[in-house]
Amino acid sequence: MGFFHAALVIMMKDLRAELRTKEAINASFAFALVILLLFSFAFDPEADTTKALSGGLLWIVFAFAGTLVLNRSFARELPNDCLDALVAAPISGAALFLGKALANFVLVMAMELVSLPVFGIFYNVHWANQLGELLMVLALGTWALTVIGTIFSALTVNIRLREVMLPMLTYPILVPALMAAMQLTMQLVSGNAIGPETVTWLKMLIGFDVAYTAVSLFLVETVLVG
Amino acid sequence: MDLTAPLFLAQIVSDEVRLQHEYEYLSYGLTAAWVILAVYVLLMVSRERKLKNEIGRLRAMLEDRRK
Amino acid sequence: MRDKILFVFGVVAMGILAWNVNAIARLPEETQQGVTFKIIFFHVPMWMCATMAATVALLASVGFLVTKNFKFDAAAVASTEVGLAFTTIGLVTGSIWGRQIWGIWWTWDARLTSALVCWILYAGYLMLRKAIEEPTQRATFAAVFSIFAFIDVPIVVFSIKWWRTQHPQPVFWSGGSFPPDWTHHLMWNMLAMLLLGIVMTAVRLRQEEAQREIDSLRRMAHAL
Repeated sequence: MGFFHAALVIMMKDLRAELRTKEAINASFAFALVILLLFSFAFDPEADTTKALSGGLLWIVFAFAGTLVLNRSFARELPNDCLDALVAAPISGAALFLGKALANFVLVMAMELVSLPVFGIFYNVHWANQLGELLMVLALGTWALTVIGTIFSALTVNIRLREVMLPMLTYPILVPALMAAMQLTMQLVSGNAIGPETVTWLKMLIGFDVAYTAVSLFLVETVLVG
Repeated sequence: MDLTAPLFLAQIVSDEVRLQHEYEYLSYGLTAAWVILAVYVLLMVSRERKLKNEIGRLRAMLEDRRK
Repeated sequence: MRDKILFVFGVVAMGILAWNVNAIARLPEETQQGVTFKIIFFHVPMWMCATMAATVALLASVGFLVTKNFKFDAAAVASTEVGLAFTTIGLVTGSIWGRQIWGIWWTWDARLTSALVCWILYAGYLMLRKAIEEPTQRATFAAVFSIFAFIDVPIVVFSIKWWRTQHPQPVFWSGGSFPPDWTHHLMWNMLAMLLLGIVMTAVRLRQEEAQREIDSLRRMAHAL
């Protein structure tokens, strides 16, 4: 079985398991809704400030709600020793990781694409001005979120205090990517295209994705076996 | 001429005050740096002592059990 | 022998610092900042040592993953901890300087933010070590995390180039406006801090070895 075929099989397995129960995606979307609701009390949603805050607000929602999906990614395999079986399976750890990351990417992205219109309605923001570029930034930011979330889900699956350690480790690492995604989203939601001022952030986001994907694929074998 | 002299003096005094103020922050900075370093070194010394005690205790215990 | 070398290093570092503090105190004031700018003679060497400590931690972590030799793991912890102490000093001195020059303790520009993130990451590294009991697993996971955390270091270093930050431009590369004799004093301080860092790392390294000895003694005690 080739590398990408193996990754695809793992991805389909994860998606099928998730679609059967829908527990992670439901929890994640419900959580996103609750945060969106809570933010309306934090500041005046009618004011012009909403646009300026939109990038930060959206990505905080995505990062927190996405973590609910990512947390479960490897923990789900613990009952019945599924994780041991997966590690022992004749596929490389990198393929296993890539498959899980892709499945998580699809789930988190689905949650985001549903929350985005809800955000637009609640906060009266015309977010679709730069739809193509916004979707690109969304995909890049979500990939950063899923790569880091998936590798740290694997790293912390067996240690005690998992619930505490996972956010302690992932959010600081994610800061550069979240910062870039927030700045870009704010610009795009306000209707400005990506210009010379903001292109540094885009470069940074792409660089983050490439660097962490490469390092994760390289190290995941050590994490799963060691 | 007579009028400018007090102004000049005031200028000097205010300069003096400003510079003393800046020395204040410089001293805060340096004090903070050395205090943090000293705290870290003290932590390390206390850990060293704890480790030495532990090693001594374990060695004595092993000797006891061997007898 | 090792003790003597470390002792000499420490004494030399203290000597350089004492002599250099005297020399720095005599330097003229900077035109805009008065004497507060002299914090730079401690701030910049601290950050450079912290960067070096992070690099050593990265190399040691990679070394552990390749060889599975626990000496590398001990080196990684030791240099991370000393680097964290230096980073703390760098953040605090920078903040005090900012209070005087900018009028605020903290501003969220790219340099300061990424540096704070770096601090949190390396503190997280030490917490992660505390959360794992089994030594091999602890060393492996910590090494992996250290490699991940290091990716933030270039962002800290180059952030002042990539973005317009409130943090001043570097004094050395790309058109630094630092007079040569000031650079000279900065370099001496840099050497002193580096020696100090080496001494502290070596002491911490030995403590880690003592910890391993304790673990093996405990195992022996259990076996008996």
